Amino acid sequence: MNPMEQAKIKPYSEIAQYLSFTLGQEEYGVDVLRAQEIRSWEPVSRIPNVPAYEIGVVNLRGAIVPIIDLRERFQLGATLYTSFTVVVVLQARKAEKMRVMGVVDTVSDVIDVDKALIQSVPNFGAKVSTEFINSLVSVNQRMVMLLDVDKLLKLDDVDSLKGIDYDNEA
Amino acid sequence: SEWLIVVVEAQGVFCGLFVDELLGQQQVVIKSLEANYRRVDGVSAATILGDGSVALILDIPSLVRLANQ
Repeated sequence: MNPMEQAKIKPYSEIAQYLSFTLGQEEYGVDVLRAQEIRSWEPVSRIPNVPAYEIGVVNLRGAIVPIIDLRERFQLGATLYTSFTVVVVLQARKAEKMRVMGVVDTVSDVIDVDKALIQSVPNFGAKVSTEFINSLVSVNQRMVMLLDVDKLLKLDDVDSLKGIDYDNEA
Repeated sequence: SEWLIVVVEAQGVFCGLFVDELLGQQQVVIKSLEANYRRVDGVSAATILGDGSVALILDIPSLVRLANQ
C-alpha cells in the first residue's frame, strides 16, 4: 500500500499535508499551512550588498516582501526567469508577520503524508545542504524532501558574516 | 562622456553620488525594510511607487560610512 492510500484511511491527526514543488530533478515539500499563495514571476527591486540568492523585494499588495531563489539557495545553478516561473509565498511562524517568496521550478501537488512514514535525513545523497531539510518521505516511489520553512526564512547568512567581520575589527 | 552626480550632504559632509538618470522628486509613504526583510547597509527604507514597483530609499549617512571603510 502506498503512503497516499495509507494516508486516506488514517485519522487527520496522523496526516500531514505538504505542498510539493520541484527544483531541477528533485522534489521538495513545505508544510501546506505555511504556503500562503502561488504567484507567477514579476520584476523585483534588487537590494545591494546581499547574497545572490536573495533576489530582492517585491510589492505584494502593498507589503514589501523579500524574494529568494531556492535554486541559488541550494546551489543548484541559476534560474532563468520567465513569466512561467513560479513563486511560492511562504509564511514564517504564525505569530510573526514575516513572509518570504521563494522561486521554484514547478509546483506539483498537495500531498497527504502519513506522519509515521516521515523519515529523518541521512547525511549524504542530496544536492541540497541538509540543514534545510527537515525530513524525507517517499510518495509513490518518489522521494520528497520536506523543508524547514523557518530555516529557509532566516535571511541571516549575511548577518552572521557581519558578526565575524565585527569580531575581526575589534 | 558626461556623468550625472547628485550632490548630497550628510552630517556636514558633502558627497556626490554617481547616478544613471534623474527621474524626479515626489512624496512617498515610507515602508520599513527591516520589519519586512532585514536591515541592509546603505538602505534606510523602501516605498511602493504609483506603478506598483518598489523603490529603495538610500541612507546617506550609512552610505558615507560605507564609502569611508
